[in-house]
Amino acid sequence: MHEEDQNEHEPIEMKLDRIARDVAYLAERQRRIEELVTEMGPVARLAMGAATEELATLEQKGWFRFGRAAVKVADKVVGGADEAALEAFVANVGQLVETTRVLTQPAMLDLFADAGAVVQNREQLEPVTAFGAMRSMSEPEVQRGLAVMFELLRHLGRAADTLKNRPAGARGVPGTVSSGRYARRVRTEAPAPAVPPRVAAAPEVPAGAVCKPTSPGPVATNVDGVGFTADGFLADPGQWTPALRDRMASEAGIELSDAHRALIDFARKDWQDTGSSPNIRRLSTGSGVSTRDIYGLFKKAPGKTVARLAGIPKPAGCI
Amino acid sequence: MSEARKVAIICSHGGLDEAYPALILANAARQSDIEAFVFFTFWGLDVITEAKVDHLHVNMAGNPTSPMPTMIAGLPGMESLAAAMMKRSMEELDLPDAREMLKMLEESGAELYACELAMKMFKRTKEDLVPQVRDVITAGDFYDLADGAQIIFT
Repeated sequence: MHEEDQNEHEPIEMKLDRIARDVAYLAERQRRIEELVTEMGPVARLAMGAATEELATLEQKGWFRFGRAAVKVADKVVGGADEAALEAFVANVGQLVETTRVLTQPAMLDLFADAGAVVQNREQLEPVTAFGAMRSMSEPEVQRGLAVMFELLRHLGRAADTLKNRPAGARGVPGTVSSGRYARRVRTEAPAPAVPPRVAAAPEVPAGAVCKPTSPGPVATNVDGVGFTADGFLADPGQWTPALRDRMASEAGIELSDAHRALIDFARKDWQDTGSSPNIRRLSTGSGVSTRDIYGLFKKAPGKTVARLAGIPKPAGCI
Repeated sequence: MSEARKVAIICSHGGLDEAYPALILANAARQSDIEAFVFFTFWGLDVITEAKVDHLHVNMAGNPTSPMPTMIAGLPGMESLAAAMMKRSMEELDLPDAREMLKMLEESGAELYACELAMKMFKRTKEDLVPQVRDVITAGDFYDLADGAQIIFT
């Protein structure tokens, strides 16, 4: 304000001086900027050159190609993950981390390396005949390996049964089984997500089976890891599950009602209590169902059929 | 097996130890899903006669394999004694008595028949028989029944 007032009365010369001073200042500033640019020029060019070189190297190495692919993958993953899947992933992240940790233990990595080496060197192995197999079975290492394999199969079978039986949407927790008589047994083992490092405890022996008059026969066929004798009875009664019963019943063309299941459960319990499979008479007197009704439920050979479906040995005796 | 097996058992003796082979064979057949017919004739009629089925006896006399010498076995009361001994061992084995066996057989689908000729000889009528007997038939009828079946004579 003050200056503007002054400007009106200022003589032209003084204005000109002032303008000259401003211009000189601006010129100085400009000169300085130009100096800076001149100095920075080569530096910037060097930097640009280095950056371009670096990018070119990266491209040569394939980083951009990989990056493009990675973006596509991420795109697919993101696009495919719906709410439920994401929630499940979040819920199971701990489990995933644990699984990864177990699988990358040095012992596991050694195992994988060994297995890989064996497969790679397979040409060096001699083909094994039946006799060779029998001879190999006497080696303790082979026996140990077989024990591990069978334990794996057992776990697989149990997992398959659990998967079939579990309610929709529920997730099985590794190391525990949600159904049946195995729930108690498996919980005593250490929870193992993928491959248990040690062999599990021996199967339960039912109380009262001190001397078993009826015992299962030798394994003739094997279906899904469950051994059956030649006439269709379970070789190992301990492998019985209700799911197996349902499957055997449907294969035999029998529709299971509550009455059927009650009889089968009674038969199994009786075998557990006394150690011998009940014959038709014991079935009838013990369960309270008349013989006529039992024959009505299981039309063909009820004594044998009930025993087979209950996973217990064939009833002995003539009566 | 393409079609169901059939077995036709003839029970011609009425002793406790003589009737059981027929009854047990029939029961075992039913347990193995084999059709079973039992034809009671002559002394076997006692097994299905209501008044006699609970009082079947065991006679050791004249039996070369019996532990009792014939002279002793023929004495009065020996028959009942032998029957009581046999019944006791049957109880130990949890074997059902004759009446219960007939009931089991009928409920499991075995068919029980009485011989018409024997009925006439012993002068019995169908009312005298246990309710599980299906019919009174002749030997010829029995052969019709047993068509395709394995015949077992006891």
